[in-house]
Parts: sequence; C-alpha cells; structure tokens
Amino acid sequence: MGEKHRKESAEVEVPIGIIHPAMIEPYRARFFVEDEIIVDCELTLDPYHKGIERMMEGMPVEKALIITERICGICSHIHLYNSTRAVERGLGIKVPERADYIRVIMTELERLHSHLLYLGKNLEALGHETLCMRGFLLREDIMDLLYIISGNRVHYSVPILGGIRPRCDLDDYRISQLENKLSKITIKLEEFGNRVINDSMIMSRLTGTGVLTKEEAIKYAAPGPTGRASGIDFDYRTKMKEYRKNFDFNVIVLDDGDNKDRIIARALEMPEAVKIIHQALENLPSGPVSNRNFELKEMKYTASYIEAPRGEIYDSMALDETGRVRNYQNRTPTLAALAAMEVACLGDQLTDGMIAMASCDPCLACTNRSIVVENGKERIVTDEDLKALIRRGL
Amino acid sequence: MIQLILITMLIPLAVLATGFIIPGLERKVQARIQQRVGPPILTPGLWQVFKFIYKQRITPNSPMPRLFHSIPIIGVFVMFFLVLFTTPEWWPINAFATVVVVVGFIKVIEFLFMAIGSLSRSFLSVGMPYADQVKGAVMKGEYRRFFEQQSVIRAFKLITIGSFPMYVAIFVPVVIARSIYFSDIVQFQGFNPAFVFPGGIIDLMYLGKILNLEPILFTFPGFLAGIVYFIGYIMVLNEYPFSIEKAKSDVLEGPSLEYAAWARGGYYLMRQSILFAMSSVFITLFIGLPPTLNLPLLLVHCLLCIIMPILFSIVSAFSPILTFKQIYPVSIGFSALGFLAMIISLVMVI
Repeated sequence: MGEKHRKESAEVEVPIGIIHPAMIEPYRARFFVEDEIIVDCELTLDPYHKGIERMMEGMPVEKALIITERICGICSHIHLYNSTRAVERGLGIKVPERADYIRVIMTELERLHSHLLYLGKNLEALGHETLCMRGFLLREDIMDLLYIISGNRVHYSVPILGGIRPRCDLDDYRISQLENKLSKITIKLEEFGNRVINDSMIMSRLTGTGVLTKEEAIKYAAPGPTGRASGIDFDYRTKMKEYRKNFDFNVIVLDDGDNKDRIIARALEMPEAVKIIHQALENLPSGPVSNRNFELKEMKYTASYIEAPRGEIYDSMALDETGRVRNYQNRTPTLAALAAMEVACLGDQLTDGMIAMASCDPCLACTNRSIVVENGKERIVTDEDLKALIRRGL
Repeated sequence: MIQLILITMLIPLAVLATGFIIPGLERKVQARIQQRVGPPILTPGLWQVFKFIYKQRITPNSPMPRLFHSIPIIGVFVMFFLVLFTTPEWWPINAFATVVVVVGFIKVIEFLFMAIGSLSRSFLSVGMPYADQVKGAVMKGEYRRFFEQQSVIRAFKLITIGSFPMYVAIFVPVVIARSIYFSDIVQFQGFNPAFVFPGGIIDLMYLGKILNLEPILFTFPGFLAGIVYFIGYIMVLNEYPFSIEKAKSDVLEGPSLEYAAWARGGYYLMRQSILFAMSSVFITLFIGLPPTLNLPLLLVHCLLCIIMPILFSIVSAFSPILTFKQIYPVSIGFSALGFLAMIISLVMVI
C-alpha cells in the first residue's frame, strides 16, 4: 500500500473532543470527512498540563523521583524506574542484580495490565462491551500480583536509588504465590486472546483499517508496539542491560500495520511478558535488594531510555551540588504514536478512525508538558520566543 | 363501539406496562453475560423514566426546541396506533388494519430519528468552546458538522438499506395468507376473533385454543422470514451490532444526545414503545396471536413480546458495532434471504 496523502479540501469537519467519553484521554480530534470517509485529520493534544517537570525543579532528588511516578496512573512504575535509572547512571550507583530482576518483574507485570487495559479500551471503542468487561476482569488478576509485590495496585513505588524498597523484596511465599497465579493467568490470557482473534465480527472491523505502513511508521517515528505492528523490528528492551543478558524473549513484529495488527501485537506481547516473569522468578539471584552507599552530588544532564508498554520513554535529569533537581525532562511515546495515527486513519470510516486513535494506546497524562497562555489566550511559540523565555528563566 | 373504546384505552397501558419491563430484562441479560449483577428489572424502564421526568428542565440547544421535545411523544403515539391497528377491534376500519399501514408507521419512526438528530445541536462537538481555529490549524471547508448531523446521515442510510430486511420479511406472511389484511393473516393461522368475547374480557376459555394455532413461523419460509425480521428489528431499533447511528466511539448517543430531563424520559418511553410494537407486530404476523380485549390473551401476547428483546440483547452482548462497510453486505444478505423466503412462499401458495 502506498503512502497516504491528506486531501487539500474536504466537505465538512467533524470535531470530536476535547471532552468525549470514548476517547478516555482529553485530546481534540478534528476529522475532515467526505460522507463518512476521513480525508484529513488534525489532533490537538495540549489541554492537560500538570507541570510536573517544573514542579520538580529544586526538590531533593529522592522526593522528586516519587513525583515521577505520578506522571501516569497506568505505567507509573516505568516512569519511576526510568528516572531512577537516569540518576543511577549519572551518579554511578551500582544496583544489585536481585533488585534489577524485581524491577524487571514489575515492568513486565505493568506491561501485562497496561496491555489488558488497552485491549479492554479498544474493545469498548469497538462497541464490544462483553469482551471489554472480560479484559478488565482479567486485568484484576494482574493488579493482584502487583499488590502482592508492592502492597499497592496503582502507584507501587518499588524502585529507589540504588535498588528497590526492602518491602518489595520477594520471599519464597511471595514467589510461589506469583508463580501459581501467573500459571492460571497464562491460560486465561490465551483463552481471551483466542476469543478476540477468532471473533469474525471484531476482525472485520479491525482488518484493513487504520493502516500505517512501515515507511509511514518510520517517518512519524511510531514507537513501541505501534511501530512493531507496522514492521519496525525494534524493542528497546533488547538494548537494556537488565534484559539483554538475563532474559530470552521474542520481539513481536507484524507486517500489516492496521488496527488488527496493533491489537494483536499487544496480545502476543503478553505471553512474552509472562515468559520473562517466569524466567525472572526462576533465576532470581540472592543478595541485597538495595545499595545505599552513594553520595548525592552535582550531576550533569543524564538521559535514560526504557521500553514502556506504549513504547520508548525518555527521562533526563540534572542535579545541583546539594542533590536537588536542576532540570528534569520526560518524553513519552504517545506524541509520536498519535501523530502517526493522524495519517493512519486517512481513508477510513469515521468510526474506524476513532478505533485507529485508540489502537495506538494514547496516554495524554504522560504526554502534555507545556502550554503558553498569555492574557487568558493560547499563544504559538516561535523559536525566538522560546529563546527569550529561556533567557528569562521560564 | 364500546369494545373499540376499551381496546383503545387498554393497548397503551399494555404497551407501557410491558415497555417498562423490557429494558430491565435487556440490561439484566447483558449484565449476566458480562458476569455482572446488573440493575434491578424495573430500574432502566420504569424508575429511570420517572427520574428524568423529575429532573431540572434544561432548554436544549436546538433551532426548534418545542418540536424537538415533542418528537418522542409523537413517536409514542405512533407506536400506540401501530399496535391498535393490529387488534381485532380495529379490523373493521379496513384501510388501517393492513400490513402496508404498519410499514408506513415504521417509516415514520425511522423518520422521527432523523428529525430528532436534525433538530439537535449538542455541546460536545462543534459547540465545544475550544480554540481550533488558531493560526496553524488545518482549515478545510467551512462547514462543521455536529454529532447529531453525522448520525442523521447514518439514519438516512439505514432508512434506505438497514430496514429493508424487515420490510421484506413482513410481506412473507402476506404472500402466504394472500392478503395484506391482518384479519386474513391471523385467521389463516387459526385465530378466530369470534371466540374472543363470548365470556367477557377475562374469559380463559380461549387460552387453550392458542395451542391449536398454526403459526407461519413454523413453516420453512416463515422461519426464514422470522430470522430476517429479527435482524431487521435490531437494525430499525439501532441496537448492537447495527447501532452505527449512535456509535459510542464517535457520535455517542447520536440523535438523542441533547435530550435531558423529562424529554429524555419521553425518549426512553418512545424506545420502549418501539421495542414492544415491533415485537407485537411479529407475534401477530408470524404466530397469529394479535393483541385483543381478552385479558388472558393480551397477557400471553405481551409475554411473547418480551422474547424478541431478550434474544436481541443476547446478540447485542456478543457483537461489536458494525460500520456501513459491514452493514451493507449484512443487509443485502438478509434481504436476499427474505426474498428467498418470499419465493418459497409463492411456490407453496401456487
């Protein structure tokens, strides 16, 4: 399939959002349609701004790291993990191997619950409430596992500088509980996945809609499973030292790049995540779970990447001489994923266009970082404006 | 004449009473399939209507708010008359008691959904006070469409093709009974209106004779037509999987998005009336048991009317929303099945 082109004119515009129950996340989608067919699309993503990056400046780093967990309620662990990694890299803190394993277990459990949430959300957008409910029911089991490890269902606060919190260490009882429950969940996941994939009505909606070719995926830098569903063979976990040496898993790469493949890619990633967790539990090294022998000092800008459930995320941090945050930046995959979906939905029916939006797993809570408002009105910031703002220390 | 007046008073009560239960059953069945408890049976049908009636009245964003608010009430009365015209007491008014009138009434209902949508301007779409038209935003064309207008376009498409299977199916009993009159169709199936009143309106004598009916549904073409009618029924009601007119993922509630307070209560009443009326027409045409002044028979009729909504709620629970890409072939396929039923009926009759 060739590259899609936006049409220069359209009959009408159907604006959807910023408040819309089906979108879940707050963003504005303007669909330019001819009859029901989308000929162009424009997304606006900036209404939801928390100012976390600015808030963290000047805070003691360990306090600030807790706030990074609040960036998102779905992938809370991954934000804390990656920002902790950035500081650990910058300060040269050595992390015990056992802690790395438990961090990986948490990451993969989070991937499981995020993907199940994604499946539920997409099935709901498809109008299949029953399977949506089943997906959410299955997700509860994963949330229970997260609770077993961390004592929390949403904000787990497992990583700390130099390792993990001692309360999250895994004893034999917890390990056996995790293994037993995970074995049962694996069967349920397989049944659920097969039920979705074998439903001809669902597949007729998903197949051939929201197509993002490999070329477009590369052009728009489609991240994570969204890119892999379009044939980009890249998973940042293969580059991470925590994964590279210790775990054997497959990177799910599909070719069609349509809504179906984006959903199936995530469905197939779940057994791989379970596989990683089993390997981690089997080979969990003994020893301490944290190394607190470090000194907080000035740290130059240090960046860290990680493979979150939605794709690669980037965190960078700089500390002053007292160990307070000088600057923090966080970039999440949604911005690139939604930009790709602006193109993917072209040529689809309006209802399928909304599925395309949902199929890239957008999370605006992580994404929006800045908005310029002057006298109650938004303003477009030019390069010169930006330089002036930086000079003024804003 | 007294019978005519009595049935005219009784049928709306029967429609409403059954209509109050049907949404609850529908939700309960879906909830059980989804491993939930679901709401109490009377909550979605009865208490929800009263709840909305007593809510604060809000002026809708509509170019003609009074007409917009009165459409559900018009719809309820259209459905009352649709059921009334199938009763033996109304048969003497020959021009009304025909299948053609039923088709006309269903068309009116379909049109009302379009009218509702075209008179509504919801806050959630174009009306959203959000700065789209800033420098740099893509501007293509000047016309911006409300959700309701988008769903009106869908309603129009469904009028032309979506309800076609139902109309084909309705005419299969006509072919088999060789008449467009309800009186002939139900008498063909063994129903004798002369037996209804000998012992008064609560006479139980006729109940036993129901078993002697020879429903068209139990013939091969009748069965095929029954399936086609069922699909058409879901399409006309705009329910899953054919609820593209009110697809949650884009146009939300569709035409009725702007109904609030008592008007939404009225809208629910209209939907309940349609649910009942369409089932009632099916029972009359395919089982041969029309709603009558005989209370036990009317009760049986109402109970039978509940079966079809339960069946469609099961179908709905296992279906995603289909877009027109799927609806067109489905509609054409079931229409073809309906035509096949009609041809078989013709062969049987000849």
